[in-house]
Amino acid sequence: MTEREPTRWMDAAAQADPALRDALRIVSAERPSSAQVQALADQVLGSLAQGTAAGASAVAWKATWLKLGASVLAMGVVALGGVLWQRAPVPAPESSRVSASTQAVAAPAQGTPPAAMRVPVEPSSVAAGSSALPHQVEQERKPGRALVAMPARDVPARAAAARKARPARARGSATHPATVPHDGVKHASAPHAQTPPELALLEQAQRAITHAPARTLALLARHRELYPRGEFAEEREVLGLDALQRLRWDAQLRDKAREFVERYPGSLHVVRVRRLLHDAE
Amino acid sequence: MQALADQRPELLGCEQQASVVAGSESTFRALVVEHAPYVWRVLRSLGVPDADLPDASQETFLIVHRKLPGFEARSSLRSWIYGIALRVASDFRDKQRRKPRPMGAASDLPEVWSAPGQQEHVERSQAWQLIEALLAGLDEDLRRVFVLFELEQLPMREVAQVVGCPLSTAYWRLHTARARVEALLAERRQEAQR
Repeated sequence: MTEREPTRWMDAAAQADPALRDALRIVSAERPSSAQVQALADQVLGSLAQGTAAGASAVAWKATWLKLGASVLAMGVVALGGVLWQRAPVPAPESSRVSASTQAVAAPAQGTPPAAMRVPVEPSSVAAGSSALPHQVEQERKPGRALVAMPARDVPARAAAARKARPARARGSATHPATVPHDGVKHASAPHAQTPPELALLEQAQRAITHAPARTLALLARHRELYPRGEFAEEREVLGLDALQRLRWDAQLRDKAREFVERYPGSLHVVRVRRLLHDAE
Repeated sequence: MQALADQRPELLGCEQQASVVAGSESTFRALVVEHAPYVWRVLRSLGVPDADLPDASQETFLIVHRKLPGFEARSSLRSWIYGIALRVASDFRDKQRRKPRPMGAASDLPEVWSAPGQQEHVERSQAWQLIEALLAGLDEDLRRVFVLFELEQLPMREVAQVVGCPLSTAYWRLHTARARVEALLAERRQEAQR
């Protein structure tokens, strides 16, 4: 059977209305930007890796999508991320972490984070448990506190150093209960976990800071929610200050920097934080 | 086999390939990147509001991932994904009907896309406005066929396959949709002249 294919209206040979033809041509050529497509891919793979394929994190991907394009919308995300990050107080210093974290593990989930806070973790940063991603390399990784002593600008590098320095440390040890978030979601407790989710989320936030500091703040807000007294709470706060500086949110930067210095007077980051504070004043 | 799948998935059989793609992060990512542009466009053309496009796109690919191992290659992968996108669009439109929101205004137009020049932006906005207004006047079945043929430029045989109807029915729907679109366009012009 050979049926003749109709001529499409957007073709020059068709007897279509010129305005309609032009509109069809324009619309048929529309496509999202490559950055938006990549963001979608990140989101889809992130959802799959987290086993929340029901689309629970679609809201967060939407935030990414919107932020990539319009500056007005991006400002909204900035405001949201900044406000959320800023609203929470700087957590207690290290001396109180262990007991607090242990309590966090023992306690039932404190409630589901608000949807706007659900910034998904990149696929590479999500722990084992995703049967959909079989080629993930299994490595022993456990960072230690060596991270704290390094500059704030390069979380991944510090994390790598920390992994190297302390490779044999037991995973899921009781001394690091903070890797179990409050929402009860098991992220990295499998025997062959990759980068601990707490660190992975921080690395993701760090990677975003150069091109999307607002996203960094949103990720940090999520981090704070999941790991209020986590292993890398100090780094999170310093990274947040860095993001605020890039966004030129000086007032918020000053408040948070002062709060940090008060909370962590002995931190190795204090010198840098004081410098940020000075620049913002 | 995993290495082969990542580098040359086309060397595997269809079913094998589908399960490999679904199981490999890098290959599935490549699939998303390749197919996302038209998925997004068809969702929008079928009436998914801008605000829901990210959710609907993600939902489409999550379903693709879930069903990919069972993909039997009776149609092209692209057609198969179109079919999923049609159903997702329908779901989102149902949700929209239950919770109505304003649509069709200039502010709803795709302002979040890569920043174009002002003139180009206006042209695109006007084009979308016109097409959306016309498509809104079509029944779901007619709209699907019109979008797949006129905008997505699928051959009619594939259009029939995607929407799940006989080829003759697809032709009838296209014919009817075109007549309706022409009538709607004439109505708009008459209203504009008053």
